[in-house]
Amino acid sequence: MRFHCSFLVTLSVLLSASANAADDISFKRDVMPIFLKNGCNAGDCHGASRGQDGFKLSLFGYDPEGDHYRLMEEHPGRRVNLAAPEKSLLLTKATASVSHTGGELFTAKSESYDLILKWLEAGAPIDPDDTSLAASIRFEKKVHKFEKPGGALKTKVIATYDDGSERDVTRWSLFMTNDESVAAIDELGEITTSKAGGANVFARFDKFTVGMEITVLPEGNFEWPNPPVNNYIDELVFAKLKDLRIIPSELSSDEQFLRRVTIDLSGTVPTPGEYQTFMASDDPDKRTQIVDHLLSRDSFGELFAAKWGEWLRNFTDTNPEKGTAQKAGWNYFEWIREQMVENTPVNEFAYALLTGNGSNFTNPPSNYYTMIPQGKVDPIRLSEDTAQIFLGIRTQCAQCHNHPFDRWTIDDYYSFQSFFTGVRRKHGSEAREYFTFVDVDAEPAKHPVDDRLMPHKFLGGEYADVADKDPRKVLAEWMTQPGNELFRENIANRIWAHFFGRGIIDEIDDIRISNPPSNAPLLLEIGKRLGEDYKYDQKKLVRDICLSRTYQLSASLNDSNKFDERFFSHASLRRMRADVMLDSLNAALDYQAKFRRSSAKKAIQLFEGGRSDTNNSYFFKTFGQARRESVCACEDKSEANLSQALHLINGHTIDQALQRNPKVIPYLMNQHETPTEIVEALFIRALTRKPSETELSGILKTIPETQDRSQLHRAYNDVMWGLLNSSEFMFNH
Amino acid sequence: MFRESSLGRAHLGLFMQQRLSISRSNRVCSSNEQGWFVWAFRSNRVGSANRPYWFVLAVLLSAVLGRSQEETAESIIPQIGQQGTEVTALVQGTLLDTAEEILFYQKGIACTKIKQLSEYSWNGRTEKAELGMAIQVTFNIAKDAKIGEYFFRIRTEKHLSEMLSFWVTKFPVVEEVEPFSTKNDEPEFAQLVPLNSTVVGYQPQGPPNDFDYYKVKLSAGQRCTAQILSARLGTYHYAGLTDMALEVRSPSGKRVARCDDSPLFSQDPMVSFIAEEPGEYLVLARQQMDYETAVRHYALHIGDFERPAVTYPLGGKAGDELTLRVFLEDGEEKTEKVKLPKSVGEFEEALINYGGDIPSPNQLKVANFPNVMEESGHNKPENTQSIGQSLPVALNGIVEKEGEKDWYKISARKGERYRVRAYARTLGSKLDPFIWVRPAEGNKSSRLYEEDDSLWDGHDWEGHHYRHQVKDRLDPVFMFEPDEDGDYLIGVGDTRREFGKDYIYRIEIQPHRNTIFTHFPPYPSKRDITRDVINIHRGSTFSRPIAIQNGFGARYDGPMTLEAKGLPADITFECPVFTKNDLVILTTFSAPYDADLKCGLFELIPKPVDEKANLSGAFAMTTGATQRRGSYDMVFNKTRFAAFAVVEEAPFSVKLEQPKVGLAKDAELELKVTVERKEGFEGAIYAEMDWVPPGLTKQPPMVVEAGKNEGFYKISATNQAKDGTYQLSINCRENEGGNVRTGLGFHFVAAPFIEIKVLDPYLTIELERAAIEQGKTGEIVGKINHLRKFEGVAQGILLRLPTGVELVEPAKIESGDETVTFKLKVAEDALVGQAKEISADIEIKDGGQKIHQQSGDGVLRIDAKRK
Repeated sequence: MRFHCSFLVTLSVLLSASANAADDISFKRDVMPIFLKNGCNAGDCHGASRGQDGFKLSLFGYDPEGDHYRLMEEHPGRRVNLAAPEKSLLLTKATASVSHTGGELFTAKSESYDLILKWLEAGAPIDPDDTSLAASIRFEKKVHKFEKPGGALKTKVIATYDDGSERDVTRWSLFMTNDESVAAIDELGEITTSKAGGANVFARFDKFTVGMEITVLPEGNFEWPNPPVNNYIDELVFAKLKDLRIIPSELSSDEQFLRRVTIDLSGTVPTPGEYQTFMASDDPDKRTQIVDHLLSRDSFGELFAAKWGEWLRNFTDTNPEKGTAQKAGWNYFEWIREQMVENTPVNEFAYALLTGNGSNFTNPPSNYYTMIPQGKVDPIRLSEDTAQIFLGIRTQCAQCHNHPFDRWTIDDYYSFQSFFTGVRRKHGSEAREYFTFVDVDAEPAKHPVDDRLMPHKFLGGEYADVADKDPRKVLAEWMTQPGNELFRENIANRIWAHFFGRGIIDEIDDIRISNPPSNAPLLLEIGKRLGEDYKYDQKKLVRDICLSRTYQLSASLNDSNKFDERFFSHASLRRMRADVMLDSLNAALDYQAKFRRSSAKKAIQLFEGGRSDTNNSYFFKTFGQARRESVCACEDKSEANLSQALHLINGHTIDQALQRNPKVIPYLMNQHETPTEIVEALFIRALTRKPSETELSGILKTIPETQDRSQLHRAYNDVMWGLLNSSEFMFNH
Repeated sequence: MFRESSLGRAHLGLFMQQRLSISRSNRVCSSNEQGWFVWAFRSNRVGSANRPYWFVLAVLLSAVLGRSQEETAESIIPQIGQQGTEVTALVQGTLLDTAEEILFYQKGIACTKIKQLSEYSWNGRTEKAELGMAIQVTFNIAKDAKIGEYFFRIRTEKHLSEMLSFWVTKFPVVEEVEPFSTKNDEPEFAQLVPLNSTVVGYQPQGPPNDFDYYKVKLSAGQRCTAQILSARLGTYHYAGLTDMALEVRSPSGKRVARCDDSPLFSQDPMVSFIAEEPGEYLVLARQQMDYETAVRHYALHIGDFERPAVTYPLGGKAGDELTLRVFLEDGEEKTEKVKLPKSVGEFEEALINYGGDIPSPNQLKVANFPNVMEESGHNKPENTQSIGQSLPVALNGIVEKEGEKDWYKISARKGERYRVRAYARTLGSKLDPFIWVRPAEGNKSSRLYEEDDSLWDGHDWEGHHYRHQVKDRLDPVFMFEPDEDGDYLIGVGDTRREFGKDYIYRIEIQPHRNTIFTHFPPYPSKRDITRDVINIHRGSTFSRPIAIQNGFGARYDGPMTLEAKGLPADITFECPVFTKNDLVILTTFSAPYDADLKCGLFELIPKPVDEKANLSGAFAMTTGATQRRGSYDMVFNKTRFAAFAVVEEAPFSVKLEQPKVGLAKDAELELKVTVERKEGFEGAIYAEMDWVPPGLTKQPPMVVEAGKNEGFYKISATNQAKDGTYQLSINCRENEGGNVRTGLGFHFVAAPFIEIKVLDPYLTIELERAAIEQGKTGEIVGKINHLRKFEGVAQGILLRLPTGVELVEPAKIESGDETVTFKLKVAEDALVGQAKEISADIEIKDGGQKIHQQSGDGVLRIDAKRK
């Protein structure tokens, strides 16, 4: 039976591989793909919003009926000449037999030409309503492994139509790769490889995009070292590494681990006391113990609250018409912090936000609907940002056309927007207060092409029954259920990225077919665990991650993994976030920072991040703290740059804590007798480690042999200044 | 840690008194004509203090605020006292050295002493208090004084101060220990306070946020309620926002309650809970956010009393006995029978002794029409509840399910105007009411109403900025005007689809009555609170514009006048007849030289000239009390009474000479201002009209120079001015010696009214187009249209002539001339081209006065010199 089916499919593919008879030519099935393949309807050609040279096509072909109208009826007889089809501008322009800004796209002997000509000869008809249209596409092979660099493979793309038929559409498909240095793909779908590694190639046809996973193995012998496995994360990561013939780094040292996990879970460097306790312990389980200890502290929740505050755009304005008064932002911040500190399941957290109703004071989650728009309630903004925050999907492209690199269509976009068209806002009991509520009788969104009312439909899901209900609740219930892969994998990926500096899908809020996970089984598993096993208790997933060997690997590279940046074969160097950096600096110097108009003791406790803290605004700006101008996670910049180095060298941040408010150095000089002890203490404060012999001997030479405390003070100041200006301090590693 | 009052009574007033050397004083008691008691006091102005702690507070306040000292009465500390006690408090401000009397707006508190303070101490330092910047007042609070807010002003020899307020509580007052001894900003230093007390707390300028921890001992099962009074205290004078939050933790550290805002008190929170375990419960009082940088203070009522959050119903018919469902803040529900008073209005006594002593009342609405109570199951327009009686009526119900709408059927008459007023948020209900009105089946009316919120004027309060938002405005107020006799459906729901057993509404539907309100209009560039008094110097006149405001839906447009009800007989009040279109009118108050120095309250009630007219009116003044940044008032002080004072003589008086002629449109009139100086005063006098009618313009302020007794002030009328006779006055003060912004320190004296008659112009002139060559002479001819006869010969000149063109001589016009010719000389280098908007200014002498009449819109073309 299986043989029988596959035979029929193959036969069907062969039979429908090309259109042979004029009456077989379909505008949507045959002609539109030619426009896409040849770039006619691309954004830099006739797909531009104003068209090109007086002729406009829908971008990437989202509106075939509109395109047919513009060809046939916008200027009758100009673009299509049914009396002499071969003289139609449609053909003469494409073959450059008349002047064409886009040049020659195909020749008169090409299949494209033949198909269009036959369609014209048949009277250029629009398709009847029962014309079967593409329902999906696929690569013939989903994965392929090359045994060594240099190999090539001819791919095939097959489209499945809504009548069940299939068709080879390789020649009408567009191709791309996410790592040309590993695997390139040409316009005919032939893959060529250059070096070892993993990559994905993609094909686009009609409104669909599919990917194919490529592995290129290195040459030479490979022996998997069989490193110990702590949990399922290691199993999945190591399976991928083994498959790629990448050997992971060694386990990090206790000092490295302590520093790394403390920064990641507390948002600051370990205290000397924490260092001494941890290093003195010979308990084989001490790494587990410190993870559990750090997870139990409020600072873990505060750190994640700071991140959510950025993703949710919590920032305030004194303009009462915006509904984002400082009190609203303050209450919102407190609520987010509380959810994180009390470890509210993430799905409940998201549900509360999406269904936020009433007062932005007494029901802080309703600030979701004032902070995101930062002005007038806008269903466009709300739907786009909701998709990005909770599903990791950027739907913006589909507002005007079908997404060129993903599966989202205009219909998907407006059907999703319908969940928010009823959101309303009004003044509350005072000028600062706003009520958010929903008009359940509000019309759904209209399709921009034909003004159709778009029924509520989940992204990638079914149509929703919202009759006499708050559509947001219906959406929230769908979104936050344990089985929603989009939601749970997005949250899991965001959590993962916090500990590795990049997501399994990266960027974390740009999940799309053309940006696939670097380790799909891993993302699938942590998402499943988070949603189904842990009931969205994020601390459990965080604990799994921190206790995995993968997380605890050293940042030191070996020959095998020195080029790996995607598969987690080693710890990555991660510059600390701006707020974490400031808190770490102050912690190392035992300095209590002052924040403008705030009682916060740490930067991660600032209610709208560094936006309103003019005391440290330059620091926050220089170190790339999110401005909260969008929900994009990319706003939080972690690149290192010269300005940062110069600020640490010359700026007021270190100077203020080290020179003007000296605390640490006098304390250490009173506590310790020898320069060695003091230098060691400074290393522990700044770098969570003791100095090497070389470092120690070199530094001791700079400490004068004198009893003059002020002279000694200056010398130790210099040592600490140097440590804080080192890359080792700035980075979590 | 807790420093109970030194007498062991937790009573701040007595505590303060013990630390002060209070000198004897003379005290008099009087009452004004409304029966409002005014306790007057003459201070012997002895200034000494024994470094009282509350001085520290005061100095702390003034030090951190960098106060402008632009207000007479800027603050009072503490701002609350217990019924039946004597309380001393510090008032800070400026020019208080002649403070003589406290004028309370409500009965129940008497000021028994005023004492000048000359020094204070802070952090071990003793510093001098500048003269007039601090006084100590002693209040005697009657045992039966109503709990709540008492407005007052301070009369000095020279003026009546801004309005402050003092509150009365049932509970003994306890002072927060911080910042004087032990800090209470950490849980381990929490201040133990007895149940059923009122804590007076202070929060220094932040940040950091000042966390005030208190603890109370509770047994298992015992109720505890805490409620804050802070925003309602009013911070206007401190120019800072206070917006507090409460949080309570059990002995085991579990958070048992918290609140930021409350439906009953808006920004002021309240919590109530039943203790699950015995022990000491921590109560944290703090600002919700630490963004503000001003000193704030608060009163925290804490006890084991039951706290009614809201009741059902929210009101009833006068004289009826109501069975109330009382929803407590802790979630419990109880039943209470209440006898409503026979008078219509707001009733606050119903629950005041309910379940213990509650420190602030709930309010019920008492109407002269019956209640209709919601019956279950009428949630669709097809299935309405017939009210079974005619209007007026009050519909009472609860929205208990998501999306629930309660539908009623009422009968209404075409031509009637019904005022529909929802009560929900106004009275502490959580409901945000939405009202639909539509014709019932068979009724051909086209009237459809969908009402959510209300404008401020729906609440008949004025004297504020229109953008101010208060919770009352969430309750719809609208006029229902049926266009057919018959049945109408009225539906009620929650705008946000929220619901619950305490989502209660009351909708009053009653025939509309025209109302007109008066209030003091905002003074240009001056804060309302500084000029909202009538401050009459003996032997002088005081003028003040009064705003006229239509009540909601009012259509009365007949002539009215104002009755100053409650003014003493020796004060003369003058007011013109006006209509609602006048918007602002000018009034004067005069006191004879021998009038007693005094102060009191009165009403400014609009009265129709036609006594049969259907109109009621009242004075309704709203003044911002607590502001947030950007001058948005959040709490308002409301009063139906204006305050007056008769104070010491001014050093001068002023008169406007009554002109013998009227003010012609498009003309200007010069008014003679005569100053009569008292001996010893030679300074310059600043004079300006506060108000002129629409269509008239006034010149900028003028100054009568030092030592001189005359000046001239010009007014003019546009051609849009309305014919009529207007009463005008001019307001004068010294040119220096006071605060220009607030007016403090000046004597304001107005001239008695004069009458100005606005008339048609004497003439109009139509200027003909003309052309003159450079270097030549020429003329512009005007055609005269005589409208009124004038005597003698008038002189005319031309205005707005271009550069290089001169009028050779003024033109002569006699009554009856048909044309006038203006001879012009054009310079050699005059600019070539057209000059427009040239007009004629005709000086006419009439009744011994010079009148300048302007008219015409001429065009003159300058041609190049011919070669």
